[in-house]
Amino acid sequence: MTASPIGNNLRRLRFEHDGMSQADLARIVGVTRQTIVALETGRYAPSLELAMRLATVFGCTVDSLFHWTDADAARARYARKPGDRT
Amino acid sequence: MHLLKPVAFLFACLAVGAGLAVLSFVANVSTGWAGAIALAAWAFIARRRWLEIEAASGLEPGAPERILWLRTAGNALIVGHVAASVLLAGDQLRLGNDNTLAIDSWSIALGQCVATLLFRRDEKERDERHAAIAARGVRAGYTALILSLVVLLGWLAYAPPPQRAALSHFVLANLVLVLVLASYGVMLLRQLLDYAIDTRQALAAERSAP
Repeated sequence: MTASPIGNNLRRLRFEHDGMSQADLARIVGVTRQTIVALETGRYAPSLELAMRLATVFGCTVDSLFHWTDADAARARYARKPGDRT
Repeated sequence: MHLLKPVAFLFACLAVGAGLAVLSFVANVSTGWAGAIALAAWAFIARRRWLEIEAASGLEPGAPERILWLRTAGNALIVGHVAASVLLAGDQLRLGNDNTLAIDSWSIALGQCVATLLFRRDEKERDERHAAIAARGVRAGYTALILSLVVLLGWLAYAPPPQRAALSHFVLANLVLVLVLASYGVMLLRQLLDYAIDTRQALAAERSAP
């Protein structure tokens, strides 16, 4: 249960949507409230399906909801550079 | 405190299971039904209480964790009961041998089935933490099973012949059953401990959140 390298804006978006509670959000997307707590505190990364459900609830894209906590490190590790071979 | 709770709960259930077997053996009365009713009653009360406090804290056990607590309770009762029965009665544990120990074990297993019905709706609720926690639990359970079987096989290979002769196939079968169920218990305990650790981290993170 180390910190996930993926952060999110769940808490902010909940507050912006009439202060939606964690329990309400959990019920809408069909997971336990503990799952929402774990995501908001950055201890777990969600499955792709849950990420898409959450993005649909808040009417945004997945990549505006979730982001790398260290974007530079992620880019250095995963981004393709000119001349890279597959 | 969070970590002690699952361990204390497991040992309490083991003690109750063993206590029921001792009572049944000493007083020659059937006690399995008492264990079955206690298990079903605990499941009913615990589930209702968890659902009541759900809205308040958000850190009470979620559905998969609630099922883990139930399985831990039922499994520990049965392990405690069968282990004590084998130690006390050995071959006399067979059905119709002037004691009710075998029927008592099956009664507790039946109580576990009834209690499971109370939690059947919970199985549909997803917890995204569960896959990682379950995988660690399975690894711990298999490790415990393999280690315990290696110890048993070593003992069977090198124990003095009189000790081995005293061990009938029936007792050996029950001993292996205890080891399998105990390994399952290790798996459940590891998962409960992981949930407890996660809850502790969630509390700390919630407190420090802006």
